Amino acid sequence: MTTTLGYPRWAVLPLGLTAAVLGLPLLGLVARADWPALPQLLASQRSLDALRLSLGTCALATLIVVLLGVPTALVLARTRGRWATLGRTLVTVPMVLPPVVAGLALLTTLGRRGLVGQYLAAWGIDLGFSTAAVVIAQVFVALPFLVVSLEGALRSAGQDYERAASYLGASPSRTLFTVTLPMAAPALASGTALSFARALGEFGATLTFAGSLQGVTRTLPLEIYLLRESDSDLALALAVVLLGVASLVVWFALHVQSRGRHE
Amino acid sequence: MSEPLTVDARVAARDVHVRFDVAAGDVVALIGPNGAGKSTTIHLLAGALRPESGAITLGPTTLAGPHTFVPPHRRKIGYLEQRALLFPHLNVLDNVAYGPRCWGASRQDARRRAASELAAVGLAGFETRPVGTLSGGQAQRVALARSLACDPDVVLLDEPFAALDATATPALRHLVRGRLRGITTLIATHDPLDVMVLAERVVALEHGRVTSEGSVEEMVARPSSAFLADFVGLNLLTGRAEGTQALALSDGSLISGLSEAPLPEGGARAVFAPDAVSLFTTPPHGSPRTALRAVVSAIEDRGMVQRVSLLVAGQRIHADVTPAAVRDLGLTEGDPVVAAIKATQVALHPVPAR
Repeated sequence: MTTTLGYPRWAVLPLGLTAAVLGLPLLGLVARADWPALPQLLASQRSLDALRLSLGTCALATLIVVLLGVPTALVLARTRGRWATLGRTLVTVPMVLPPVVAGLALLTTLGRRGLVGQYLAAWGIDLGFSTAAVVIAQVFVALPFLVVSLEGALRSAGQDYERAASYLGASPSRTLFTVTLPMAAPALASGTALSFARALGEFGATLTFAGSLQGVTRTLPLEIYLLRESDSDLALALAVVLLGVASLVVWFALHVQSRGRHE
Repeated sequence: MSEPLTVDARVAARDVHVRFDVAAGDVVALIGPNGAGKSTTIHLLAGALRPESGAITLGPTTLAGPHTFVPPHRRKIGYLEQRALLFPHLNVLDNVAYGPRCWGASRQDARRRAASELAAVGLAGFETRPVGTLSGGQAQRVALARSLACDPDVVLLDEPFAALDATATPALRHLVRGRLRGITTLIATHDPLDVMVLAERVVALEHGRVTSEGSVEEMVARPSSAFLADFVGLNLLTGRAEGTQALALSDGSLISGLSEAPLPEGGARAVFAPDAVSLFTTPPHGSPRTALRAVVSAIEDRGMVQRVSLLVAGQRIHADVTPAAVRDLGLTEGDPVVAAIKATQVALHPVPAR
C-alpha cells in the first residue's frame, strides 16, 4: 500500500472558491425557503400534481432507460471498429446537446407533422403534448448517462469471468444475467440513479416537446419555473424538494460506486 | 464418460498448425517455448478460437470443422488456467454449483454435487465462505472442483500452478493427479515437474507445429531437440514401486526417495536433479544414499560444472559434478562408476494410471 500523495497548499484556495460557487446558491435557496409553511405548501393541488407527475414519469423513464441501456452498453462494450465509435458518439451527443434542441428534435420527428409523427397520427396516435411525450423527452436525455457509465465499467472489467462461465456451460444470455450484471451491479446502480436524477431535472426538452399542462405534462421543474414570480414561496418549496431528491440520488450513486471499487 | 480427442487445426494468423491425438483417459502434456502455440491450441480446444481449416473431434462429436463449430458453452470441457477466476459475487458452494446449474441440474442437485466436489478437493466446510477470503491455493482447488462438477469429457489445464506460491504447488499437483484419473486431459506447462508427475505422454510444440510426440520416458531418455533437452533438466528413472518409499530398477537396484503419499503398487518414477548425483569409483560405505551402478556415456563441459551422461539399467541420467571431481576420478567414456543420490533429493511418483 502506498499513502495518497498530498497536494500543494495553495490548492485549498480554488477549493474554497469552488465550494462557494457551487455551495452558496444552494445554501441561499435553502435559507430562503419558508420551512414552517413547507408541508402546507406542498399539500396544494398544483404541487401534488407536479410531484406525482414527476415521480411517475421519472420512474417509467428510468425503467425504459435500464431496459434499453443495459443491452446497448453491453454491445458497445464488446464491439470494436467504426460502428462502435459511431454508436458511442450517438449515445453521447444527447448528453451535451442543449435540452431545448433535444425537444425541438423530438417535436420535428414525433410531432403531429413530424417525420415519424405523421404516420403515428394516421394511426390515431398523437404523442406531442402528452404525458408520453414527457417520458420520451426524459428517456432521450437520461439514456446516455446509463449507457456511458455502464459501458465504461463493462469495458474495464474485461471478459475473463464471462469466459470462465462459458466453459462451465453458461449460454451468452445466462452469462449476462448471472455473471456480467451481478458483477457490474455498482455501475448499473449508480448509472441508473444518475439517469433518474437527470430525468427528474429535465426541463427544456419537456417544455418544447410536451408543453406545460398541469397534471399532464407540467413536471416539477416546469412548475417551479411558472411559479417563480406568481408564488415564489411554493416555487422555493418545490425547489427544495427537488434539491433533496437529487442530492439523495447522487449520494446513493457515489456510495455504491465507491463500494464497488473497494470490493 | 471420457473420449478420445483428435486435433488437426490451423490458425494462419498465428502461424499455428497442430496435429495430434489424445487417447481416451490419457493425460498429455503440451510443452514448448513461449509463443510456440500452446495457448492457441488450448483455446482451439476450448472453443475460444475457431480453426480456419482442419477439424477437432471429441469421440463421435465434431467440435470444430469446415461446417460445424460448437460454441464453448456447449462443449463438455473443464478449463483451469493460472487464475482461478471464481465469481466474486457467489460463495464457494455456489461457484462450484454454477456448472451443474448450467447443464440443467436442479438447485438442490447442483448444490449436493458441489458439496461432494468440494469435499473431494479437501475443502469441506468452506461452502459458505466468500471467495475473497480464500488463499491462492484454496481458490485454485475450488476452481478445480468447479470444472469437474460439470463431468467434463476433456479437461484443459493451462499453466494451472504458475501463479501459486511454491509451497502450495506440490499438494495441489498431487490432488489434481488424483482427481483427473481416467479423464482425457491436456496440460500446457512450462514446468517439467508437471509433466513428470501428471502426464503419460508429451506433445512438444515449436513454432506452431508439433515437433515431437511420445511417452514421458521417451522424451526424457532421448530428447529430440535442444528445447526438450533443456526443458527436461531433471533426471527420471522408471521402475516398479518397492514398498512405499522406494523403487526397483530392472537390474534389481533400489532407489530410496520421498513421496507425497505412500506409493501404490505398480509403475513408479524417481525424479531428481543432475546436481543431486555424486560419482564414486567404489560404493560409498555407511551412507544413507542410493548407490547405482552406471556407465559413463558422455562428458560435456558446461562451464562451472561438467555434465556426465550415465547409463543406469538401460536408462539415461545426467550428473553435474565439478571439473575437479572428473579429474580426480579420471573419468572417461565407457568407465563404470557408482552414482550416489541422497534419498531426500529424490521425489517418487506413481506412473500416472488410466
